[in-house]
Amino acid sequence: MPLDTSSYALAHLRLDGRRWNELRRLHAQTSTQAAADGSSYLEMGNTKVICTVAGPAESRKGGGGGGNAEAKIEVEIGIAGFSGVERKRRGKGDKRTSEMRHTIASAFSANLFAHLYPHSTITVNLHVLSQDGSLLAACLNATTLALIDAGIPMSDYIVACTAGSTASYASNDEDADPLLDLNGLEEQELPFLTVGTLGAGEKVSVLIMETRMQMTRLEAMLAAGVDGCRQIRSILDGVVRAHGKAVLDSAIS
Amino acid sequence: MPPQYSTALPLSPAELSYLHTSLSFDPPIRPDGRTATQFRPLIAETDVLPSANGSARICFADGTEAVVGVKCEVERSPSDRSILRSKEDDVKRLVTGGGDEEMRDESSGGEDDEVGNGSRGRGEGRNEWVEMAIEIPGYRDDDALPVFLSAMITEALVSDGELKNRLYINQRFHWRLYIDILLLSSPLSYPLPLLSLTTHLALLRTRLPALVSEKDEDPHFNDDWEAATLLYPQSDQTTTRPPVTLLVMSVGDNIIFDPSKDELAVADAVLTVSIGKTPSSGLRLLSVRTVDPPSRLTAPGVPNSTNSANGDTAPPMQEALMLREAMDEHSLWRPPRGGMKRALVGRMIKMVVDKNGVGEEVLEGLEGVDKALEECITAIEAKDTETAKQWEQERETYTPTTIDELIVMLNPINTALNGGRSSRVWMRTKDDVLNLKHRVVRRIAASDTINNFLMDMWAAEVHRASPSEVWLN
Repeated sequence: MPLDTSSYALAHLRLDGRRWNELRRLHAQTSTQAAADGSSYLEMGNTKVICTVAGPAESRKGGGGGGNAEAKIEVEIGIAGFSGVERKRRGKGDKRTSEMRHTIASAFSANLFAHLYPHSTITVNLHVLSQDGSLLAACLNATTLALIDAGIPMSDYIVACTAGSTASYASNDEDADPLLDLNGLEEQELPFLTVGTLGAGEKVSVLIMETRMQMTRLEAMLAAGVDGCRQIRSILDGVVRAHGKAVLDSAIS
Repeated sequence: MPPQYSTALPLSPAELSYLHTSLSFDPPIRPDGRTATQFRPLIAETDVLPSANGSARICFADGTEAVVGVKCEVERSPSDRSILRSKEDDVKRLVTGGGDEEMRDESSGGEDDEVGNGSRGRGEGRNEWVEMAIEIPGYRDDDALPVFLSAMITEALVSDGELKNRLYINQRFHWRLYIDILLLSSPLSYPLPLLSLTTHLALLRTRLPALVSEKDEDPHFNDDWEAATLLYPQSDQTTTRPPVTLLVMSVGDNIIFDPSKDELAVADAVLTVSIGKTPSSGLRLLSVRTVDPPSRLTAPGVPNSTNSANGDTAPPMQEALMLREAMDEHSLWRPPRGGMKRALVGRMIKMVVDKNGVGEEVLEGLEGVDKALEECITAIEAKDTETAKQWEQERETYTPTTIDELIVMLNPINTALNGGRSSRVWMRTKDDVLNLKHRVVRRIAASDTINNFLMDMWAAEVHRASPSEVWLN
């Protein structure tokens, strides 16, 4: 449906006027909440996510959970009832939510310098205010910013974005283009994957795909996704540096 | 799990005693220098969620933040109600036409309202049509705190009996109102006033699509969102407004509003007072609930005479208790015992509900959040060139942040510093508000954190080089 309109075949423009390799408007802010250790607010198009980080803090169970030599990362995701078009209350034990939580927790466990904080817990709280595609990617990006704001050291940014393919639409397979950063409507109809890289290079740390498609498309989609991640990383880095500069300026003056 | 409400660093008996004594003076000395009826500055925004019928976000000065989204969906009414419908009601409904016409028709004044209320006020709405969900990080949905807060806010909301009638469409359909409240930070202080204010603001801006179908046919609505009508219409004959719940505490004979966490820890009594507005522009008391003050959970101080750390032996238990009872309460901290005097409750309620009282101040302040925005927009539309130019200039240099239209409610704390002028100035004149808005917009682009922003605002207002940090953590 998002590509059924003839505008794609004629001008290769998607429904919102983007080309195949254009990201949606990405807007990010750090330190949005004074009460939290680290916080961020991220918008990828109409997908809006708030992330707050508490920690590293002492583990609740003391000796029980704290036999680790590394910090433990716990992720909670709350998808608000008003986030979709229809109001839908989602329980915390939802399967999709659980999978997202596990993905985010394991991605950051590998990336953060958790060995610096043994026997402690870092709690990440994500609130989804509005969803319009790329939910997991937005959550990963927001978590990165919030963890940076909290001052937890990591080796590089984990940035994520989605990539899809027009293969299901185009009958002629050679014409199938990879698409970058799908919105909600496109995600429902087209096969897509979420790819998260470590920094601007090609190290993929998260790769989730739930839809089915031909193997031959995968390479193109991955390449588009990784390239999108590189763009996102530079935007997020700009946000962090601007915030740091502002803090320094206000401290000096 | 994120740190919970009660595991914050407890205060020692010496600190508690110090706070309690300062608050019992006349006038009370609060840790941040406010007067007894002064509120902390807060940041309030409306229409933050484009996909919701109404939304609002409020951040308090201590960093706690809440977002409320209101969504409405059409639902089929159970059919057995149609049997009870009387012929007289049918006639009345024909006269007033579709559901929302009387709201949009301001010129009809009192007469239509009366007829309208006559047919719709006959219990045609139902309180079940309002559903509320509160999410607090760190608490499950069936924990005591979210359930209790939800019950208190819903109770105040449906108590005036007006809201449910506005959700009525026709015999077969009605609106279902979903109010989703998100507390974005873990509750550092009792979250009820924050959530209640945010809900009030969200409901004030909630709009329902305009009904174009007639009578009992399947409801059809105008696609144009600009034609949507407000849930709480703002005619001059101020119809009821959504309620607001305030936290009021007492220490000795003093009554203190907007208590911070430290002040709550030494309260003698805490009340939550819910107020609504009546059509005759007075305030109406909707509910009063007592809250168990956290001061009762504190440990009492140990007087030197019974303190074994001094090197003497401690007297036995009974004697120690008797000694403690005999001590003057001002020299040693003792958790409050007993209840509240009835006269005190009466005084607290009076202070809230009276004309030019605290309740009116709060409601006016919240209304002003919308007014300032609308005035800016009308200035631009009316081609008020000077204001519009200023606004346009700001827009150009202003990079959009998450808070596109930031309205700040002026806190009279600066007037206190300026020599104690009237402490009731919430909204200044229209020009002042517009000017402040521009300054606010410019500053947000440069400083993102709430603390920095508040300091900048204070500095701008008070014209000081380095604002003191009396009440910022």
